[in-house]
Amino acid sequence: MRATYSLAAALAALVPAAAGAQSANDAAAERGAEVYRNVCAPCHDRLPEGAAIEMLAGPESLTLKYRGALSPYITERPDLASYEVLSMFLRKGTGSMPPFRKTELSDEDIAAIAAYFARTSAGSR
Amino acid sequence: MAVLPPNVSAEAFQSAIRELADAVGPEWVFTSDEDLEPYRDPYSPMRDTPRELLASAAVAPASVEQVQQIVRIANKYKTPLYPISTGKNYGYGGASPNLSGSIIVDLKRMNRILRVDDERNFALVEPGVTYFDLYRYIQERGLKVWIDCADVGWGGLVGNALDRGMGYTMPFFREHANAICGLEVVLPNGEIMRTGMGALPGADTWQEYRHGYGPDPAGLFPQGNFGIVTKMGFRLMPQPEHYRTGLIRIPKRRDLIPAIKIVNYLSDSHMIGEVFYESPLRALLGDAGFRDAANRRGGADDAELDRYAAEAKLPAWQIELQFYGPEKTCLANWEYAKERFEREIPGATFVDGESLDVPLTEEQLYNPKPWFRNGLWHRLASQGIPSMDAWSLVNSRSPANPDGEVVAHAGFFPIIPRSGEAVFKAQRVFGDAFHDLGLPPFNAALSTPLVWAMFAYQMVFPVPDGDLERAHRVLLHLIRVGAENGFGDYRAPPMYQDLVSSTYSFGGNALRRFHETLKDAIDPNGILAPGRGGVWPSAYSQYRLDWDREA
Repeated sequence: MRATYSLAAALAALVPAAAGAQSANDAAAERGAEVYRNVCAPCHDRLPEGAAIEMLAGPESLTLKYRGALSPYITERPDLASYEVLSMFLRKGTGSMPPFRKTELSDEDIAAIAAYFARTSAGSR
Repeated sequence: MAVLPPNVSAEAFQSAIRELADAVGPEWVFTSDEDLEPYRDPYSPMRDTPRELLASAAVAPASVEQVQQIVRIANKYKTPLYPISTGKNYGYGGASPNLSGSIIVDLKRMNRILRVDDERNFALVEPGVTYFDLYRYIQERGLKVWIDCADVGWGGLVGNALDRGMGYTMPFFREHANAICGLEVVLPNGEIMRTGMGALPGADTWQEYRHGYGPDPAGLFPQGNFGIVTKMGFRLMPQPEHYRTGLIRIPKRRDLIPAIKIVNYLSDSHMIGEVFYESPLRALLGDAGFRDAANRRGGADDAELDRYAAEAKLPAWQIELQFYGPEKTCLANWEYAKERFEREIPGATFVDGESLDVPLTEEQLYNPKPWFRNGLWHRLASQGIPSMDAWSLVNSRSPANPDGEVVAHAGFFPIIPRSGEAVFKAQRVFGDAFHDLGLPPFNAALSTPLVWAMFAYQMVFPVPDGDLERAHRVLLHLIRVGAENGFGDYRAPPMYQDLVSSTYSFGGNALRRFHETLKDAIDPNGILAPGRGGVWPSAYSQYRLDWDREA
């Protein structure tokens, strides 16, 4: 029952066929921002200034993993702005993050998060 | 990884899958290894072993009618089903079934919030609704009700209550199964049933009076397998005006006995919320002599620990109380608590904590230097706000273990009487259980009840990579030793549900036999979650796990 899927197909699903690539990316990024807020941010977002990092499992763990070599905040990671890379982590899980089912996070959602990360990580390395 | 349902041919299975696809749409039936990967339990102690419990397929309905169709197809082909709500019951099996080969009925797409009433204080939701979803809904509409949240906000209200999860606000709401008020259930024959006042056409009291008239079967569905719950009502806590905390320190080890009596009174009189116990003597664990004293086989010597406490000028225990309500009553209840402790426990001392109007500001919520212990993991939950803070408990890395890899986690949650004597007995029993297995000690004499609603004594074991077998042995031993001492586990992953169920053995396992008589009558093909809660239908009874025999 599995359909072959690609980032292009995911983006195309988000906007009318006639719309241009830029519109598709913008629409995907907007949707990605919402998905990120609802699904990713509770573990991975920044806390208010001065808050204890122990309150967030994602940055706490990634700070220890990368020790400054990479940002512990996933929105700042251009290498994650990819449907294929995100799918690998989200469908299989990594570390203490479990995998996400298609009923929780669709392929379109993952593509949208990738588009959002492309926007948020621009200028980061 | 391909696995078929027991006693179902590949041909019949494919026919069932085709009919399921017709019922819900082919894109919502999953059979490939890749799509089924997230339905495996990522933290199972049996992961990647022949014992791992695996699904044959998953199907995701979007409506009650589709759930009915799925049940009818399962009866036709005798394919066992295993319903999940949001599938986030990690530590208790996640989205994986009790019986390998079951088809997962993934209810995540049924995610409507049907009603929230902040004048009569209830909600009605579908199984796919998470704590985060309901919180957003309430906030967006400015409703004045709180959710009693589970540890992690991505969990579902329905699934958590059906596994009898617990939370962190006032006693009435903390036991989530107790806050259930009204169920809609698809029965194993495909019929829809509503419990309580939901059975009375036209009644607007489904979420207010849970029992209706006659025997109330609602209690059969938590940790049971008598139907698929498609709607659930909850009582909600009205948003309080004010929040106050206070800390009580008591000098001697045996002071815990009168302290718990007072706390029971405060809690059962609805004067306080969740209680946090701690022993400041943890500061002495760097001292090898003290560590030995706290981990001694046969239990700690009270006088010896009191000497350590006196020399270090530390209290034996501290107890944090939380108050909710109007500012005046929060203060009055705190003053009353202090009077009781002062009168009944010589040497008790007190620290006024926070006194804040609700809702707390962002600065107050995320205060990096909270007054007391609950400031980190439970800070948001104490304010009815779902979060993922508690996920740090199972994080693969921590400052103490920066390169660590945690591949499994499991909990053991025995129910212990609400008395200081019982706490001391539990410390000895489980401390000795660790000695029995030659395991590193866990500072038994300083351990405290973690969850107060039912006085469940909680222990969580991070399991290092390659040590799954040890985790398995620990759990089997703790379940058995706990039961021998009257401390029954209240909740367990599928792999251990048969063992836990077998320990509730009064009258020659009369309770389990009653459940299974009902099961066979209500679900003659045994298609619904066979084995859940240790309840096996005749059709699959040979799959009951007997760890005693396997040992």
